[in-house]
Amino acid sequence: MGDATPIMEQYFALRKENPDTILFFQVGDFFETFDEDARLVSRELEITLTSRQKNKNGEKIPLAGVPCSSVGYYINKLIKKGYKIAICEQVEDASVSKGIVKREITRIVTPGICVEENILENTRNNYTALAAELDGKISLSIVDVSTGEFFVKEYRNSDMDMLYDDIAKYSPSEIVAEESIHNSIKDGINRYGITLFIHKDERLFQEKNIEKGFDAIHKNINGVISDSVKRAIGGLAYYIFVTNPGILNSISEIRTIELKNFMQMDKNTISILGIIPYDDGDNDTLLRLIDRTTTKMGVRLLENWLLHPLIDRAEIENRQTGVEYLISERDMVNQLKSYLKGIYDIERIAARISTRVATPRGLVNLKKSLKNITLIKKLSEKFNKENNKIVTLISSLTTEHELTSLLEASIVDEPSSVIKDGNVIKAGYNKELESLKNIENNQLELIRNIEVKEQQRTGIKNLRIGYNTVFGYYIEISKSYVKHIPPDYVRKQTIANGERFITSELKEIEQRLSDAKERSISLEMEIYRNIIENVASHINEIKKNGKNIAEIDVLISLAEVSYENGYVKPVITTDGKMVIRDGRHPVIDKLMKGGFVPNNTDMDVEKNRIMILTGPNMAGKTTYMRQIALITVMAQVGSYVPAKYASIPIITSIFTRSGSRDNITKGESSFMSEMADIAYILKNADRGSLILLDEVGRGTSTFDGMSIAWAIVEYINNKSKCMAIVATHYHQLTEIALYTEGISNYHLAIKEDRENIIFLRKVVPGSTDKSYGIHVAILAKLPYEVIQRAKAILSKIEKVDISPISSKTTNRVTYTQMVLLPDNDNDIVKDIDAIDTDNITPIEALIRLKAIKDKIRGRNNNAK
Amino acid sequence: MQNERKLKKLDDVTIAHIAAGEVIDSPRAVIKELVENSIDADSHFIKIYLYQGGLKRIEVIDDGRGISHESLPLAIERYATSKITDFKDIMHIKSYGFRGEALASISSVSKMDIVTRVKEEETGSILKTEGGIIKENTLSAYPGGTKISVSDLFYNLPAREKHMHTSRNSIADITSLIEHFAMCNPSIEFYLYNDDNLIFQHKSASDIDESIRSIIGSTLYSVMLKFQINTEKYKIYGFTTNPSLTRSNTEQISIFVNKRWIYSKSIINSIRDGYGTFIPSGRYPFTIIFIDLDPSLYDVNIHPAKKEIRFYDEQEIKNIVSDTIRKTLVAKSAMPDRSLNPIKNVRQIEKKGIKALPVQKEIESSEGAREYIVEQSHRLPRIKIIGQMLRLFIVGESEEGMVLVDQHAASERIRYEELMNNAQIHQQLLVPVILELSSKQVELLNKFHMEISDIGFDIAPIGDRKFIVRKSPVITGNIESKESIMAILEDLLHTGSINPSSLKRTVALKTVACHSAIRGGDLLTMETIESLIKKLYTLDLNYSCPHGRPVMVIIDKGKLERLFLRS
Repeated sequence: MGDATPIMEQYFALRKENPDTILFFQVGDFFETFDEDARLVSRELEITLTSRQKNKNGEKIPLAGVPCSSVGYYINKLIKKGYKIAICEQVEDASVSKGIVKREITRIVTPGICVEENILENTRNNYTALAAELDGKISLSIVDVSTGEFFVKEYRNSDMDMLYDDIAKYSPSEIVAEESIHNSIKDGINRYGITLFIHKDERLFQEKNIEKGFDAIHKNINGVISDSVKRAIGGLAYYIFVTNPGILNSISEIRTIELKNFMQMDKNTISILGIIPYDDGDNDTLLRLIDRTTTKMGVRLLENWLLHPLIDRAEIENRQTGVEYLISERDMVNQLKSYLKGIYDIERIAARISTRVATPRGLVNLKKSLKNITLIKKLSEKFNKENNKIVTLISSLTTEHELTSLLEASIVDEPSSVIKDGNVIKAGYNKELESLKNIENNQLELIRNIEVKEQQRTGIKNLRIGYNTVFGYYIEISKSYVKHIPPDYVRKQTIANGERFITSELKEIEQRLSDAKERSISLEMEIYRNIIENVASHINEIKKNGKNIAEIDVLISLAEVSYENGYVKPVITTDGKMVIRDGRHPVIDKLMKGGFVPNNTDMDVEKNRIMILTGPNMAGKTTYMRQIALITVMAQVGSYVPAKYASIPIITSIFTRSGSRDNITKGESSFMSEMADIAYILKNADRGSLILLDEVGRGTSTFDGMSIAWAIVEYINNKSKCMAIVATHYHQLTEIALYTEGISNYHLAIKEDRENIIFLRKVVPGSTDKSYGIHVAILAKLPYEVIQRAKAILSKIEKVDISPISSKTTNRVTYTQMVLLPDNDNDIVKDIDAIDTDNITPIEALIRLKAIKDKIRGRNNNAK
Repeated sequence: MQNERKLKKLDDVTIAHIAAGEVIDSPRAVIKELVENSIDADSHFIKIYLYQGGLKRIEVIDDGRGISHESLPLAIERYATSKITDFKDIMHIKSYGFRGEALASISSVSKMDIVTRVKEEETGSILKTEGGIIKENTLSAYPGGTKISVSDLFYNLPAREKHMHTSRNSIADITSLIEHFAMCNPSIEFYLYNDDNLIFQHKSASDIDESIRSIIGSTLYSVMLKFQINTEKYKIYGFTTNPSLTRSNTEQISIFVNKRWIYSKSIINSIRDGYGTFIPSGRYPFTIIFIDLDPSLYDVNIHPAKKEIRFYDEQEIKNIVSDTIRKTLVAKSAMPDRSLNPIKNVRQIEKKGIKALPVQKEIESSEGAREYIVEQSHRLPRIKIIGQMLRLFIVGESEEGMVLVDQHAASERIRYEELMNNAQIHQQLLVPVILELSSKQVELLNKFHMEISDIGFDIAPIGDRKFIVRKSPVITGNIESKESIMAILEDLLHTGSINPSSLKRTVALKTVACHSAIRGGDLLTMETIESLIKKLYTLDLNYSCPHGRPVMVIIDKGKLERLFLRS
């Protein structure tokens, strides 16, 4: 490099410190990038690549820059692509520094570790994850730095699929994995087809760094933790420490993802049931349907609740008390909602305060929020002896008078967006600031007086003193009077119909004004910093309030939806019986606006746990299965449910496997992966599970598929002993019910109307042996000749019984089976055809008939 | 002779169009007919979905009895109805619909789909029609009840369609319609959506009172007076407002006859009569009145949309109504109700368009009531000035009786008119005023600089967010204080959007509020009084002073005499 200019030297030194980041180097009002960074940034952000001089030899270095005022926008774009950015700011005032201005890296922004305003998507959490390994155990730590939530979980080597699933569920913006497990995690989550930036970073797995990180954060840990968990916690904490240390102050208590406290649903299930959207286009999800929240904190919490339904009856009923109360107190709800409108995302504001990047507007929003919280708190005066979740939540709010008064007294109601523009601190808050402002006002009055004075002195009546940001102050004289100006006027600017001048007196005043202005701005900045420090000491209360408000918001949302749609309060039982009357699929019911046919459900984990569901495609099997699951989820979240009556036993996990192509995750189409999924389900299901199997065994031959399906159902019934609904196209499967306790058959009712079939959408007991395949093909508009030919072939196929049990059963049920048999039945038809009914006697007719029957019986005997 | 046009009977489709036009002229009419059908079908809930206010599509969904397979195609034929079998039945109509025309009319001018199922049948049916012609009639699953979708209203009548777009078919009208249905059918749940947003919801109420309360709101409900009277033939009950809450039109009088919302000029008049002189002439109360009587006592067949009815014994009903109203007012007004002007209540009530005008009414009890009723007059009659009294009022004599004028209110009024009529009135400030504005105000100031100059302000920047005001709009007087100018500006900029005429009004108001030449307590000379009265002649005093206080009051000669027991 040699002979680099001082500023470039400074740059290169900083550059060396942070090799795998893009360095944004502040120069005045711009953030600049150089060299390779510049090329990358220019390409990714589509901004111009220029150059600047890099050394005394006149060599140039590539440069790409963005204005400071809009840097957030560009940072956002880059981190979305997975880049990390080191922000290097000028830390001293350019006008007072000697030599080059001091610069420091104030923070690093990564896709996960980001608290900048306007960058995060408000309605979702933004997670960073770290996976560390020790002695065959893998620990995963997850943090959302913008809200302070921090979780850890440990997995055995044999539970890797669960690890991948959890990672996929939380969808962190980035994950750092230890070298030894990096590749397997990368492959594992590829299955889910989600975009995830996975880095390696050796620093985070070095023991001394882990210790450092752990020390910084251990006060947030309760209880005993294993060594591998410690590594994950320490590593992630260290990551935060080297990126943006202030964040460590806003980390809440670290929780182990105590999965045992919530209903388990893997990502596949969540996606298939349509609980939350995973793609941008996903609008028909349960979350969208029941989201009537007013605050951003509320909608994030609602998503959280939906992903973690409760399994403790008392807790569920507790939430129900809140929903019930809100449904009956319409006035209270309206009042609460109006106050909630004035509450901002104080969880994220709190995080920004603790990292010292909160803007003045953020503080004003905090103030408004606190005021509204006080108003909500006042509502508790209306509660007499009410005792429900809402009352509890409102009572737990804290009013923070001190903080509110501080903010009210110190920050202007409509501050500028950046502190260095001034106009942030309220008048009267600080004596020194007041006196500086007085100086300003005095000078202005002087200016006003000068105007009058000059008017008199020159005799020019319409002499005016004007001001603009480019030229400062000037005396403006219109053309006609220009000749009468006194000698001490110095011309500054000529305009269309006049000229502008300045005098030394005016100049002096201007100078004094500008000095005062500068001093007042730097004083404001100092005062502001102090205020932030003060506010930072209240972070915990603010966050607690945020959490309570979010819960109130969510309960209101559930109450509103339940009220509008006439949902009913589910009874939570421990007797293992699921009873639903006139249940509806919440999302589809809403979409169909009254055309949805409701259905009942009766299951019992002791006596009647498995439902075999048959019927043609499109009849509604899938919808029915999913509605049972969704009603269960809604019930265990504490919401009311779409039914006339519902009694729900606590389900601890829901597993799904769908053989049809809706919502299938990318890249999975083989029978192999279907079997892998089933293996996972069978391994993990227990008494409290609910399994939904939709058309299993599709990807292989009929005999294999049917056998496997049969065996799976038996296993679930005998080993897992949990509730399951199995939709199948194998009619033979319905025979299981005949000799096994605890399995019932149901089918979707169809009505035949000449050539047409009408899907009645009613689930009725019993099995059906008609798959109406041809009818459905007609509906699908298959060509006429194809239909006719299919019918012909079907009529030739002999109905063969392929059930695994012997024909001892008295119920001879026959099934269609696509097995082609030799074409030797036609002779019987020929026989019948040959009978000339006009010309035979009754006795002859009887004899012929007997002969035909003998033939048929003989045929059947042979077939056995 | 060759060119004689032959008479030809119109085909059914055309007949249907013409007849339809009488009744179905807007989405509102469609909704009314469909909802009435749903109510007649014993529904527990009725959901109405509008898309683009009903212009694109209207869906009415209920859980009522439904229509059987057999009956469905008939439903859209004219004169096919389940509600009467012969003309005699009309005499005893209890249901809403009976002419058998609604569905026929609607289907003939739109694309209408019906999905429905009766409990007794396993499947439901779908009927799709376009312009009255059946396009599809098939079986379908359906939970129960009826769902009717009406799309592309008037697609086959371009003239009417164009008209429909320009006519006032606001959501507010439709909401009011549904509100009225909800009022008189308390046990039915109503839901109204526009573009999938819920805009009105009514859960079932235990009775009509409850229903009304939830619709008009507890605040308004608490200031309504309940009335009721049962005679042999009639049962009349309802709610009406205190005389101090009135409107300038009759829109807020809702009349229900046997739970059907109708319009009846004679009932409106009889209500008005009941109020008599309790309220100023030209003003009307907010009333909800239910009249239940035997159907044979009135004729509902006189208007195609059944909007109007004719009572056979009109005078009798009118008397009963006005009597009941009057008695209620008198009874409830035994104490002069001064407390009825809490500002927050008024604001909410004013949302319904009712103005709260302060009206003096000292009404004593019904025993030999001596009523000092005073009225607000609208134009100054020819008066002979007597003088000033209490340093507050100007006293005069006119043909009608005694005239009292509030000197301050009058002077404000005059000034206000002058300001509103004047193009530009501004004054050069002796000493320019320097203001500091917030960034938002600066933005607004820059945006509306021209409008603000037009009003008479000369504002220029003099620093960072600092402005110098050299001229401001006033007539006379000393408004040079920073505060008053700031107040004017703040008001202007407060709303965030400025339209020139309201700008003027606001300035005028503020100016007038800040100072008027004549205050209460000022001793006036005869000349001043005369000039004041002279200026007043030219004004229409309908609006009282800008702050809502009356300018002038007349005490009737007759009343004066009665005060002194002169007959």
